[in-house]
Amino acid sequence: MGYGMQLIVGIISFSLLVFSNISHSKDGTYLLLGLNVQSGIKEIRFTGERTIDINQNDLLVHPDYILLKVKPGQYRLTRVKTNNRQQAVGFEKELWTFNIQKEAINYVGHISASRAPLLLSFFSQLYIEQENYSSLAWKYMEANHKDMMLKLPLVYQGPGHDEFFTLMREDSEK
Amino acid sequence: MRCFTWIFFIVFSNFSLADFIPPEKLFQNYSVESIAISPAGSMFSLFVNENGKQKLYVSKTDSIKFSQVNFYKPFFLHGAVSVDWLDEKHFTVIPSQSNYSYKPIIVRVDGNEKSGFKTSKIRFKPNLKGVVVAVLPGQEVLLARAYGLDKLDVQLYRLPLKDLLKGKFGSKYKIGPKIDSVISFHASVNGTDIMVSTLSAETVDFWYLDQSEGQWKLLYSKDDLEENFIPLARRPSGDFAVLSNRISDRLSVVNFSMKDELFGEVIFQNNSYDLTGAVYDSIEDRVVSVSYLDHGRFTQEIFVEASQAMFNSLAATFPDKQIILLAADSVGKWYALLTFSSDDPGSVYLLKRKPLQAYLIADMIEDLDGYELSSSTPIRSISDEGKNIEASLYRPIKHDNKTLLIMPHGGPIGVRDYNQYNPQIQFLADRGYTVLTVNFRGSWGFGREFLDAGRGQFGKGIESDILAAYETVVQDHNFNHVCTIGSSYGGYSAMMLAINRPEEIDCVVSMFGVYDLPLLFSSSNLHQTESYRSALRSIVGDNSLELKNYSPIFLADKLDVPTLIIAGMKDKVAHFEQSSRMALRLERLGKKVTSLFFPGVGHGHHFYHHEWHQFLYIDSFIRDATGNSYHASVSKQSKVEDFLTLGRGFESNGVLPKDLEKAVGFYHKAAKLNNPSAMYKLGVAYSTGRGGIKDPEKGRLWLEKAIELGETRAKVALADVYYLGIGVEKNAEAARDLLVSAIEEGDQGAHWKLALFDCLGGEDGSFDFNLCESSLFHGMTQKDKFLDVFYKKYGVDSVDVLNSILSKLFMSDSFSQESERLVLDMIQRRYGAKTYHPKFKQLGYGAFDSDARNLNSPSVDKLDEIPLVKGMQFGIQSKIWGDKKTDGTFTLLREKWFKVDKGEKILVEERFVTPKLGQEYSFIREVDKADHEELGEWQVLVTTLDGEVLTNRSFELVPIH
Repeated sequence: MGYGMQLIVGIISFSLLVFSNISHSKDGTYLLLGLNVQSGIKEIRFTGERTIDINQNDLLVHPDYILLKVKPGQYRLTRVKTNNRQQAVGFEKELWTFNIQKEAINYVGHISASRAPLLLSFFSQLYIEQENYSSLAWKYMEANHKDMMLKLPLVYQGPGHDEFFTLMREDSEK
Repeated sequence: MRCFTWIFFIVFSNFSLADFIPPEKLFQNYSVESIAISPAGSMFSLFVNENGKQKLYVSKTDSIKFSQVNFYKPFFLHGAVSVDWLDEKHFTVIPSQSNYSYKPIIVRVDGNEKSGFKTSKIRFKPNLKGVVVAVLPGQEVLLARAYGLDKLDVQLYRLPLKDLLKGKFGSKYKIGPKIDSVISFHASVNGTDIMVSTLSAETVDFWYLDQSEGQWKLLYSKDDLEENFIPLARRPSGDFAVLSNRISDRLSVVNFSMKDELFGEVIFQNNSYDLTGAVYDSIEDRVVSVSYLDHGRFTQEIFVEASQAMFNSLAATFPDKQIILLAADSVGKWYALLTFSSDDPGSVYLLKRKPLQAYLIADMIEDLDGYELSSSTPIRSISDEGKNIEASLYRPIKHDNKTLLIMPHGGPIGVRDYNQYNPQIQFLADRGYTVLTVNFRGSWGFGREFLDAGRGQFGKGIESDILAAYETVVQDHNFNHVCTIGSSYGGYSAMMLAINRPEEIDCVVSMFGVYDLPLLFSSSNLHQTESYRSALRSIVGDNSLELKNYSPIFLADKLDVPTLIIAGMKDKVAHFEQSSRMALRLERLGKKVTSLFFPGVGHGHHFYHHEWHQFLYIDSFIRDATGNSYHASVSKQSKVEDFLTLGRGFESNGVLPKDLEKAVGFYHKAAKLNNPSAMYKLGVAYSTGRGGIKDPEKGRLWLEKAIELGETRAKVALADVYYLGIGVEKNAEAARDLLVSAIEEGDQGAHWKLALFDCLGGEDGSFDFNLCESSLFHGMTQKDKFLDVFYKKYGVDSVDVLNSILSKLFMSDSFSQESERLVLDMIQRRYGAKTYHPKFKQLGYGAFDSDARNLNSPSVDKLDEIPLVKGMQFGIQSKIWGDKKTDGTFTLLREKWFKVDKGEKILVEERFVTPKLGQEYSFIREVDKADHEELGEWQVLVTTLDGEVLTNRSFELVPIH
């Protein structure tokens, strides 16, 4: 679906549960997202080629990792909502954007989202960060999707540049 | 309290104990937080840590007898640890943070030393918020009154103390206009010069109050964090004496002209070191004293004759000690001192000038009195660039195992090692290691050039300096083994030294370290800003391909010695990914790597007991890695203590990362030394399969051996083995005998176990009600209110055990309706109350977090359909209450869980629960397996004892897509 179409019909979001059944997929383009999300987070939204909404139910079923087939292209974290109606928006484009490379498992990092109570206040503060836990992602894929790793390269698309996956691949090929 | 005359000062003779110093004595808080003396010297106060609690005492100086000050709640909020005396009867509490938004806390002291001093807080009108920031001569004070949202905007008042105490702050006392974003104040001793520093987005600004014009004038503005600028005093010329390193390599006393905004003459400079402080007399226009760190030792030079003589006498009285003046009165009668050294955590003294007498007020770590600690020996070496490199060597007092530990510090830029008590070093030295610390290039205190020389020198010049010190040491000392150990940068360095010197280094202990230098730039998206990257580049160098050549992760194949990697899983400084990936790659390359990853820990530990457990493990790791056995002089008991502490530490998450396999390993070591407690632990582990090892035969043998050595708990565990038939024929009689024997030996747990056995009946399903009741309520009379007595006597856990026995009773196949009636009747009699009918309100329902019982809050509100995930919990959150009389007491309810299959309800679980009336309570079921049997409808039914339904709700467990 093109961007223009989205403007006409509004934002179309897909429940992750539709996408998360990847056990029979043999090829394609995948997004691997690590989650380090505290309770109370209700929704995380990425916009790009498609809008990806991760809702409370998704977080319950997939508390640590989300692996889903996506269209290649550029995506950006655009919204984090909590169940007390707090919402973080307005993420600066350059810090929250990532690319999805075709025919690969794209690890885009771990999203940390937590609510830190403010001292002497009834309110809490949303803390959101996209962190690089490549080694944990590597271990997760090895333990849960080893076949997939043999067919598709696991590539790093998180913040900055990282050669860890290449290093591990070289080690395993030795 | 001990008093020492000045002339005949007694030096304690230390004594050496054969065993290790218990680590909990080495790793602990200092006892004294601060000391303050009143202006005329008649009173003093002492802020102390006593058993983890802050306390404040006051006393007269000339007859020391402490009275405790009532601890006001705001003290805690402020995190305050010091006070300032306003006169002989009043003191103010100084907040630890730059926040002026609290009411000033001023305490009046009444009474006398005989009856004890009484303290009372002065009350101010509600709108006054601020802090007394300085006590000035002539009974005046400087009050900073807070304004603005961030409470850092202040109006200064200079007013007589008597008016402050009466709450009179007329505008006539205002000095200067309001000033924003204040972070610190400075008033000269005579009160003529007042300066403040303020913080803006990019600069720290220093302001001088021109009292003739009533205006704040900008003295200096700095945007370089590495630049120091500390105003000392205004000179008669109108210029300022400041501590600065702007025009000199080393931090020095320099003249600064506000008019020309220029630094001028260097008034005082040390030849080798940055100054750490200076006192300047603005009337005499001269430097009174300076201090610096000479080879890490706090050193003071005094240029006023009278004071110099006193400090010379002090130095003679406390030989080899470093001395810091902590407080003084305004009349030169009383002083407070801290004396310390590398082998002494320190002591606080009250010093009377005439006649000279020193009173010991407190030892900073009293538990270490009598233990001999290792003192540092200075090592001087020359770097490859011809610079002096200062290092320190700590030799073991006893148990020398001929192993050198090279211990680089963190940072690496602007951090340093000090010549003072360090619990980690003392722990290692006490266990027989020699420890080498090095102030390599980049360390603070040796001037800016030396500091800057460390930038971009990861794995290069810094390690070259460390090796220069190492080579100096090995010229004079022989070691059988050399290992490296360090935290943060020191962790990186420990790894790099072993990679670069494989033939000399035998093992590595790397804590909270970095191993992949390019990853420093890519560990978080928040690190992608130019300001962060620029700050990082100034330390590590450009993010170029070259960084890979100095990153242990890319050099891992060269690391061929046993390596221990320790990290905090919440570390954001040396991001946890650093340690995680290093450990993973070493593991995959088949290297000898062990990791200790602490959940919930950041860049280092918050609690000392975590740290000492960690160091016990480090000692054990190095012994294994180097083949060092314990020195013959170490007692068996001391070794057993180590193994048991480590075993226990690994048993539950928190102290050490939970690792039952490791726990069992340490219990084996202790059991080999004939320790019955370890044998019991092994018996339980092998019998139950905890720790991944199930061998009932071994389990039984260990338990029997422990019993032989008098371990009562092993009897209770062996009773389980016989009762349940774990690897043996079931034998209820043998089980009972063991429990009775354990009860005779005073084991409370055995009572419960016996009650469980007696109430659940024998193999044949027989149920002896009287036996069950007498076992359950052993030692209680009919009059006792069961719950109250048990909560008070045995705590919540015991009641939980009792509830679980009752639950098991009700779920037992052999339990008849008649038995149920009897037991319900018994519970009502024994619980001391009639069946209670509380009010019940459902607050929410759905899926819960894993620690739901603590959170008491459903993470998903009102969700009837629950996706089936193993370990997930679901249920109801409720509030249960009675009336004013009963709220706060416990009630007893029945919670039943049914599985509904084709319209038929099957009871799966029944519990007795004891919610506290007036509070929230959650009724929760955990999904312990994710298979088809769990799918479908579930019902929870909560009733009173006599069956009144409080709630009944259905849930649908659905498959995940």
